[in-house]
Amino acid sequence: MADVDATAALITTRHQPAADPTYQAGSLRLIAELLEVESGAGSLGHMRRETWLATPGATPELVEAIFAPLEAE
Amino acid sequence: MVSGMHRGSSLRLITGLAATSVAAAADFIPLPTPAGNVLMAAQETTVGEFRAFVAATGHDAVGGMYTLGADDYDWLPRGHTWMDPGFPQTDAHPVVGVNLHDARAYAAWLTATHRASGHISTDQVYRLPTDREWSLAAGLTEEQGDTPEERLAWADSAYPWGHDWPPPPEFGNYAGTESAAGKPSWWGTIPGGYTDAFARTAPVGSFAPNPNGFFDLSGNVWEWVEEPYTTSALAYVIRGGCWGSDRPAYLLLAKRNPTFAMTRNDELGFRLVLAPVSATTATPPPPATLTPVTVIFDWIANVQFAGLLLAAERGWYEEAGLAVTLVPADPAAPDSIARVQAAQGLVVGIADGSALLKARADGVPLQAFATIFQASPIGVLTLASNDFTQLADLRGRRIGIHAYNRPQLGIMLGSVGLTLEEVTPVVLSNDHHSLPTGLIDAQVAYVIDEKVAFETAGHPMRVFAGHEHGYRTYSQVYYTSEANRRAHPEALATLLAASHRG
Repeated sequence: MADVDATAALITTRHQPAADPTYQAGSLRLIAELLEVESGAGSLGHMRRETWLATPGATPELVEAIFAPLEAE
Repeated sequence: MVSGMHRGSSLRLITGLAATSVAAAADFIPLPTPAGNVLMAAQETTVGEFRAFVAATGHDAVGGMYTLGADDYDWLPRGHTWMDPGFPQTDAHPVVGVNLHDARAYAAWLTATHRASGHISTDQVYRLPTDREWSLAAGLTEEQGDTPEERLAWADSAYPWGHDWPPPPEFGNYAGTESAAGKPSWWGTIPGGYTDAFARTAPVGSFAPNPNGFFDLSGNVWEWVEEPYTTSALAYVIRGGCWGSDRPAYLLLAKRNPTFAMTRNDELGFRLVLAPVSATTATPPPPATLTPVTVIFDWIANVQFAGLLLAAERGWYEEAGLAVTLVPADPAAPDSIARVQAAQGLVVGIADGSALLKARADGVPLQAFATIFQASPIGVLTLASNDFTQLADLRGRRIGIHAYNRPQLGIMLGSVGLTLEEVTPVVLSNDHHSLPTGLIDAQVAYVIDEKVAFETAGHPMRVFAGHEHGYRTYSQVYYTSEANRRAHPEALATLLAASHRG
């Protein structure tokens, strides 16, 4: 994400040769906003119990099955 | 014993000696250096020679090989190996699908074998050529620059056949018209009707040698070089172009392609030099045993997976001790969950949070352990020029949706006190025309993607993000089986760390 244009160009060249790297770079800039939108910088990958509970289809039991093993580590 | 070779003479060695009956003969030709004591193989290392090495050592050169299919995707891991690269080869063809470590291991084995048999002295060693040595074989004797990157920048535009493009007929094994059969629609061939007799690899030595006596130095397969591309780069150098090369830049004598050491693909092989130990710097040791991990995407390989793709390209997984295979989805059936359930070994999937909850509710023992997106990329788009400044302004309006987006739209409308009955949903399919032309007033869309499509076409957008309007779910969530999560917590943590680095 440090160099969005270069990253988009690399991925386009390597995996989607028919795609437009400028378009992919624009997409990558929007993606960057979603990576840490909930936890803030420095917490890539982090998940919160309350977000899982708010997810369509969630029940407390299902969410507990996700978090109990993670919290036990 | 090989010593005191004179420039212009050559040495025939049995490079798979004492291993199997398929051993092949290879000439080694002195490079035009003042000492003349570094010899380079006239031919690329063959399948037969590599097979002898694997038979003798049990070396594992399988896994993560990228090959080209007939579909419209680029090189992908398709389960091929150096033994079955996806097209016919005999033992006389150049081996492909070998990474830098495989090539180094072959050279080390051959050194030990030939020292033991007395074919070479203990003062000699087989290894990959340096970048400068490869240039000498190609006839580039005056290059300047401290790194391959600098030498490429300095070089002129000479091809092996001169300065004109395209190459003369039958000059080498390149991407001629013969290579187009069974290739993706984007596949390119050398213009002007260039053709050679080989759609993929050719038996080594099928074309005339260069003026120094080296066969296939241009074309057939790219060749590993024992030198990083720059002083700071993780990438090494490959040279020479291959059967798939159609562009002028790839066939320049001076061309260097930066490539990561763990790369295995159907275009990449190697040849060796035989050199005095005194002319050889220590070869980096092979990596410790890597833990294999397969990651199954829920969509094609694009920028949504930038972290993982970049980590793979840059070698950060290998650096962290993982041999990661990334498996993009078939867009016609992108769901990863069934594929993860069916797979063996340490397999990680990526899926939407709602899909994982449904699987758990159905009794599938999957365990989410991290997320890529901390919010859903789904939202509602409207033209910035419209008067709808808040989602509630869409009451009574026509809203384009995919059929499967109806629940998400209902949730988002509910966050502003509306119901689906208070708008007019219009089912669309990848439609980027109805909104700009006013057929609809807004559209449920993947904000990270479709907003860019609209704005690239000249239509500035206003976004009502789903996660700011009640639609809360994680997207592109990492998960694995409960058993894998219990058995491999360190590998999973390492996978995340390397992916986040990307």
